[in-house]
Amino acid sequence: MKALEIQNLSIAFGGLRAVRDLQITIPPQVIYGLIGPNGAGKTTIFNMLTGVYRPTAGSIHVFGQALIGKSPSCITRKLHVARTFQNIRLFRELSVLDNILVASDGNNNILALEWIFGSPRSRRYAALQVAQAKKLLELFHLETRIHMLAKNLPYGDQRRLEIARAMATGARLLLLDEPAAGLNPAETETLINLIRFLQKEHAMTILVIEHDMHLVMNVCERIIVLDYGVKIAEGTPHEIQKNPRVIEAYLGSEP
Amino acid sequence: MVEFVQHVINGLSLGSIYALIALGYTMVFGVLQLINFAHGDLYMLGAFIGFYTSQWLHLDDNPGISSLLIALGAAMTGCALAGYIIERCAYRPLRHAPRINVLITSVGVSLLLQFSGQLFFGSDAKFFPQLYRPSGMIHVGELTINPIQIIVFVISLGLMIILQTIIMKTRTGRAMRAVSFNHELAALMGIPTDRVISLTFMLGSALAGAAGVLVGLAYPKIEPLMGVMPGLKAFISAVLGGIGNITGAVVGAMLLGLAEEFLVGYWAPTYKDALAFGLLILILLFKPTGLLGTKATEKV
Amino acid sequence: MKKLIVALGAIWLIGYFIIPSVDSYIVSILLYAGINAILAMSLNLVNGCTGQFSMGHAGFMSIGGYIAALITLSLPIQTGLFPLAILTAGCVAAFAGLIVGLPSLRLRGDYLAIVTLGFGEIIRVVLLNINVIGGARGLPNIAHLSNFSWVFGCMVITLFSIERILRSPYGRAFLAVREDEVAAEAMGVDTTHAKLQAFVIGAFFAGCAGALFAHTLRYLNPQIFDFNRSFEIIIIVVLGGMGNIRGSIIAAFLLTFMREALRPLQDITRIDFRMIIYAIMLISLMLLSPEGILSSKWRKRGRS
Repeated sequence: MKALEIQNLSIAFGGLRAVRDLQITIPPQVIYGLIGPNGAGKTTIFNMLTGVYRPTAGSIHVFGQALIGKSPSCITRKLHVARTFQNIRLFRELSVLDNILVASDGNNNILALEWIFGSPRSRRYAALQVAQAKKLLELFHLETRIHMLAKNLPYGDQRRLEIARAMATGARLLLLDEPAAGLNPAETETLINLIRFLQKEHAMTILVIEHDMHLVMNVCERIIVLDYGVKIAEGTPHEIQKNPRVIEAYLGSEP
Repeated sequence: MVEFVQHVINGLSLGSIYALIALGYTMVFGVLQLINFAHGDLYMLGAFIGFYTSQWLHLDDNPGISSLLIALGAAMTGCALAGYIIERCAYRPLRHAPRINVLITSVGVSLLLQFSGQLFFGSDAKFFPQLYRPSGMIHVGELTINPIQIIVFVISLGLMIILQTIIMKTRTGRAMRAVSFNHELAALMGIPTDRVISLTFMLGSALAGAAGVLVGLAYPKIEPLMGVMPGLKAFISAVLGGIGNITGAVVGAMLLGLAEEFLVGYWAPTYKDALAFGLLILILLFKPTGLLGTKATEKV
Repeated sequence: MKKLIVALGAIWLIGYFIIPSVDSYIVSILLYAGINAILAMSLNLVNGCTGQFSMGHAGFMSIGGYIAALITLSLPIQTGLFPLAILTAGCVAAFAGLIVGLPSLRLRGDYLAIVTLGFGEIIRVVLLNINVIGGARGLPNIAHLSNFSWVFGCMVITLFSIERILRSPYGRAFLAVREDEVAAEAMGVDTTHAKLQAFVIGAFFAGCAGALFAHTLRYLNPQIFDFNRSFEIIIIVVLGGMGNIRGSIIAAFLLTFMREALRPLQDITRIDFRMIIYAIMLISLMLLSPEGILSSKWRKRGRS
């Protein structure tokens, strides 16, 4: 079964057709890159994949399940798709731990009254949640910052916390929107290792939008290139680097 | 049938007053995405400015259109000034604060206007001077029309047309539309957003001031808390028509005016004030963008 | 937490033995302060913690008040009946919260403000038109069942319940909605659902407070629950700090005492100075210290 199957996907805002007739198929447990000049429609695709926008035509299936029409929270919970944001959107006034817990809470069927009276079930659940969250944070080298407010974290840590938070939802398909934006070369290197680690050890399927070509070329097994809402190329990093249409889209054509 | 037409006329006259107030709500919402709770109280302020101007200039000694226009002009100028001061002192410092803080501030400004109104104007109702005294009712067949209703309707309509011209035809209007489309972008394009926002407030407040005088003319009892209900109803009109939409505000206001008039005339007068809120809940349930509104998606 | 329990226990003990010898006027002020604290904490859950803006809290309070009063008026008076009346009042108010919240909570916060304001007004108009409960004449002769222990007990229960909820997945979802609705939704929080939960829980406690209020004042009239009552609760929440539950209690006592202190002035001038002061407080708090009057140090301790 495919991790992600997009067929004939289109969306229009008023007269502007931001994405046209897009086909993407991603097998499980691989890392795909999504690149293209600014305004090519990359984030729009993420917004459709997470239920923020509703496509005008086409279909999306995640691990065989239809996605279109479901609410963003339902897509995260039931279809196990989670994302990060281009401009970091953490819960700024909450602690690092609480940021993770919000994402991992999910359906627990424990009543509000049980929490008020502190039923054994709720205590067990809380302990388990915190233990799991701590384990996840260790993975992202954030274990020492557990009680800090998210807004007080250094920038690089905020970027990593966003990925950790998306992981905590129990995601199987991870959508990363420019995870390396604003990171220095050393931090980018850590990020590259982290993304590979998530794919190998946590069986994640990852689709990443990125302008940092070093990251894209090093991490992605295959790359999809988008220009003006249309897929203009797909292939291995090696193939993409030599593709004349891609070069044209990025550099403009020779007169 | 005669009764029906009579209700339609009354409803449109009431609706045109709601429309004047609703326009201010919708314009301010357009540029600031803020429900300016104090807007209804500016309308009260307009009525009182009209009242004191007429008293001071003894306008009711020689009633007529010119006296009415003087009072109207005074109220509109005064309210525009008040709108400017409010925006400058209370809202501008909060331009980057969470939206809920601005909302709370506007509630505060509203309460301040109401109760300092009680302090300065006295808490008991005053009788608005008869600036225009019709010689008698106009009879069309079996229909009786109060000329005041026609005057109210015509003046409101005139003001709306002027507003529409300002917004669609002038540079300032274009700047307003740009700011309401996108703040930061407009600022980047060299539009002085702060000045445009101030101007929008002044225009909206002036219309509310005009509504105050017109209401004084049609329903002469005025008091400091009179702005609360019409203010809320005007806001609801704006939502009915699609908030941020100028035409929508007018359409919504007329509909609400008619609906209230019919409710009072045919069914249950005691529920008049609840009707608007009932309509609001219905529209939010079935067409939250309003009758003429378009869907806006938040940028992610 | 332990310290707090000890402190609250001590306050109750002192109160329990001292109250009988205190002037009944002062006792009644204390009771109203406690009731205001419950109202403010419950509103804070919606306005402060979930980032919505409800302006019709008095509406839920009035529903609770009338329901509880009708129960104790129609059944033979027994003290044992009172907790039942309070709970029923809370549940009916919570149900009303569900009805109001369903249509409006799908929308942005500002709409909620207007809808709740309108709802408070509709409730008032409806109450005015029901003759069985006295209409505009009001509902007199309500049994005097409320006392220091009841109000204090309910206040403490409200405090503990709300603080516990805030530390549960429910509360985390509320806070996430306040922080960033789009991100919360993307992280699997059903934001509409979360807002509705906060709203219903808030309405429940407001209903309970209404029940206490009815049996403290012993007379109800729709006019008591007008806009200004809702505004007063909002002021308390803002004064104590949005999202700061313990701050709401302190602010409730401060404001209730201030209101009583101003009463003589108001009687002489016949002008509602209280509202002018509230208005100035609201504006200046928002401009100068949006976190409320209590320091941020306290605020953090209240949350952890």
